[in-house]
Amino acid sequence: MILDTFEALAMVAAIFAILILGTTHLRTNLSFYSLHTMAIAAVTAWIASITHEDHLYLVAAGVFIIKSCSIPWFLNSVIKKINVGTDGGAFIAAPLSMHLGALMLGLSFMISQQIPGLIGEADSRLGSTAAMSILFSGVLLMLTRRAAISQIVGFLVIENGIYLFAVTQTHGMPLMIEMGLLLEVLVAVMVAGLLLFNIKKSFEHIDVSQLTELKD
Amino acid sequence: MINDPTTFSAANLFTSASAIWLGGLAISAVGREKVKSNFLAFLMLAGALLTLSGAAISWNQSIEYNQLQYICFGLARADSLVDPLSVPFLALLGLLGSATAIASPCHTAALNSQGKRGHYWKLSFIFLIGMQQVLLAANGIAFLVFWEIMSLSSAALVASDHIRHRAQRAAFAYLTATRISTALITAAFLWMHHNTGSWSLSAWHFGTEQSLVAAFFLLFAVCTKAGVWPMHVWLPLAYPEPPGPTSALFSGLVGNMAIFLLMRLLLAGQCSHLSIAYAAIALGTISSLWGVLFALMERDLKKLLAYSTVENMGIILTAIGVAILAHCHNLTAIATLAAAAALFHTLNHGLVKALLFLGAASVERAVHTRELTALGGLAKNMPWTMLCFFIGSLSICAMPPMNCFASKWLVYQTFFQLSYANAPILERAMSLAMVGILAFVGALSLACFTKAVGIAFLGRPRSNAAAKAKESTTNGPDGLIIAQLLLAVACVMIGTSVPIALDGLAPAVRQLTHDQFLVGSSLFPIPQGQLALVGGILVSSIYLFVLGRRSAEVKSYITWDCGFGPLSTRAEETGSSFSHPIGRIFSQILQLKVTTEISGKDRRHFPESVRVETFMTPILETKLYRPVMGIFDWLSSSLVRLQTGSIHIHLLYVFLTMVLLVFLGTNI
Repeated sequence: MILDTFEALAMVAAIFAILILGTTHLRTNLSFYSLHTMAIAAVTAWIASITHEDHLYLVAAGVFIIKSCSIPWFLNSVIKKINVGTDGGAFIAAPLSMHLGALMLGLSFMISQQIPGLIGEADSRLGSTAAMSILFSGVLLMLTRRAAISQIVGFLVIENGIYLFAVTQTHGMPLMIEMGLLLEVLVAVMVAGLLLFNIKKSFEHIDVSQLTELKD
Repeated sequence: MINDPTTFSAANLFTSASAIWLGGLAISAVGREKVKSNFLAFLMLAGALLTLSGAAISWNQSIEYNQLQYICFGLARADSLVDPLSVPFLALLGLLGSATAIASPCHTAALNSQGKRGHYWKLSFIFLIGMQQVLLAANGIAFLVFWEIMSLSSAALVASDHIRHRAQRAAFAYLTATRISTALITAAFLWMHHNTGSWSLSAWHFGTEQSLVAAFFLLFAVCTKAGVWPMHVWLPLAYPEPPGPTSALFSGLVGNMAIFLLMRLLLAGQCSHLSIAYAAIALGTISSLWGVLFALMERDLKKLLAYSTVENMGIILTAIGVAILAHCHNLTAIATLAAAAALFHTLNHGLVKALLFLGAASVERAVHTRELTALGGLAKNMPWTMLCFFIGSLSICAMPPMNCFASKWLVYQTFFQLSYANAPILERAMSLAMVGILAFVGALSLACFTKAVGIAFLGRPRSNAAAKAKESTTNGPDGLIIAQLLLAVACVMIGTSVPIALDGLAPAVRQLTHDQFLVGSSLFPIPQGQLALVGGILVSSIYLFVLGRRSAEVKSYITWDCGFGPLSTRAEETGSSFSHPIGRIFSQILQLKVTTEISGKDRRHFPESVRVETFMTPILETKLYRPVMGIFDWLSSSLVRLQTGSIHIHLLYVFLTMVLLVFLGTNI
């Protein structure tokens, strides 16, 4: 199997996402997340060069600046302020969840073989494999971790998976929509960061498994 | 389409009636502080009269117009169709709308809060518009939209006294019933659209095999909405609740709208499913028996009337069932008779029930209660109400010179003719049995209304409030009384000129049964009007010459009390004691239990206190609906356990759903 360059980059992004699963150290998580998003920005730029869709360069720049630099920096400062270093205890131990993530990569490959409408365009199949694997990794992260900050990272990883799927399958959405999405993610993370301060202030911890008031 | 002058003017009349009601709605919504209720009542009356005159103009012909074409409901435009079938219902709407408009100002004047007044006017206008457009709707989509407007506004009317627990319960029960019926109607419409590819109501033909499911959905939807056994439980709760004058609209038209739908689709659509006919006859028969039994036992005046509606809806449904049955056997004459009976009885019942509910509203306004045990002796204080209620009772018991006599006579005729027609022997036997059942129901309803009139209006007042009852707020008869008189006069007029009325209904019946040789007046050969005139002259001359002379010698005595001690109102017969002998016969169905407690030293001869209590457990509610409700409760409380409140579990649900969708989409 010969990988196209952007497919190889997408796979790199997927592997970084699986690596996020492998540690409970929040700062390391964030740096992996940053690298993972950089790979996605690179994928976007590469696709722009193949398809000659100039607006994708702008999107790639946006992804790089906002998602892979500003957001990790902001979250890093939040971690410093609330003084939480590691995730208190995952429901599934970190190495095990990393292996589950690797399994999910295989599962995503199986699923992407089956997606109708892509059989003719064989070149984008690995892109969708990577995208789905990133999505599953994000879900695993949200499902297994207790700290609220991991939930935010998991959410961002899921968002990246969806974005990568869109980019590899459709060669990019219109610029307005992409920019809107980026802004939305930025605002969501800002709000989540502020909420984190408040959670820490009111409960003295950021363990979401103890927040069980979400019912009638 | 709008070339013919009749079409043009009739369409204009209907549209402007709607527009006037819409204007009334806007005025009552915006400027409620300043607007006099007389002005709003005038607008309501104007709309009703316009509807009435539109119906009169388009009496004999079918009119299709699309003046509201700028209103589009996505799949279809708001096309309107006035055909011979909808015209009598529009006329009824106009008449009852006028009565409501006349009765409204004195009702709102008695309301102490401004909010309640605004609520009353707004909902009445929406309700009227909804009903008019339901009758005019030419396609299924427009029908459903206006049906919903009608249902929801009437549910809000039921809930207008929403602070009371009783009204809340009634509103919820009514809402449940209308939701179920709308869901079923929607399913039937979709099914028919799938079959025929058209949304037009007149394009749907129910003679085909595929239409059976839709016909069943429609039948059950109509049974739910009209309050036919066993879906009638909401009816005695909801019918008494709407505020005074609108209870005339509610009781006279809500059930009739459902019957109208059944006639328009199943009868005019030439339904030829024997199973539908049997189901309709069976449900109708049970409903008429059940309704009249419970009406007889009821202690609440308005609930009594509501149960009587259950009975009459049953009779109408039976007649419709026979019409379908006769159509299946190609017995056109009987089908025509049955359709005419159903249509005529629907209209008569709507009129009479509205009259009776206005009478009950008048009683409730004067005495502030509907309990028969607190009424009595109202005849002296409320002569007009007594007269109108008596006329209504006569009519609903099918007494000869009245309108319901003619329509029930037609129902009897249908069964007699079916019993010696060329039909299977079982059906002929059934129709003979039905004659007996109808006679029995008629006798019980006579007892029931004897009780209603006798206990409420005759005898001596059973409470202080009843003794001090005042009929009207002004010196002369006020709006509520005039509205009753209007409807009572309409009842008597239809009753004494049945052949003319039937001639008027002939186009509608022709549309229902496609019988071109029908002569309306030949259906009812009894010269009821002339007989009533002769009888009236005879009775009044006897009164004048024989009894009238003695009236000068009236003396008043004390009633002999059998040596029992001074007579008080407690010695009077009560509603329960009146109906108890019949209730005892049916105590299995009614779950009637009586406990008697006699105490004292020598309890055999000189009891110090006697205490008698009667209990009735509504069997359908306890044996059928409560277990069903229990199952729903249990299901929903088990579903609540899914909602753990933990973020992780909720995320897991999202994730599992996503995985499921991916797997479904990719066929792995």
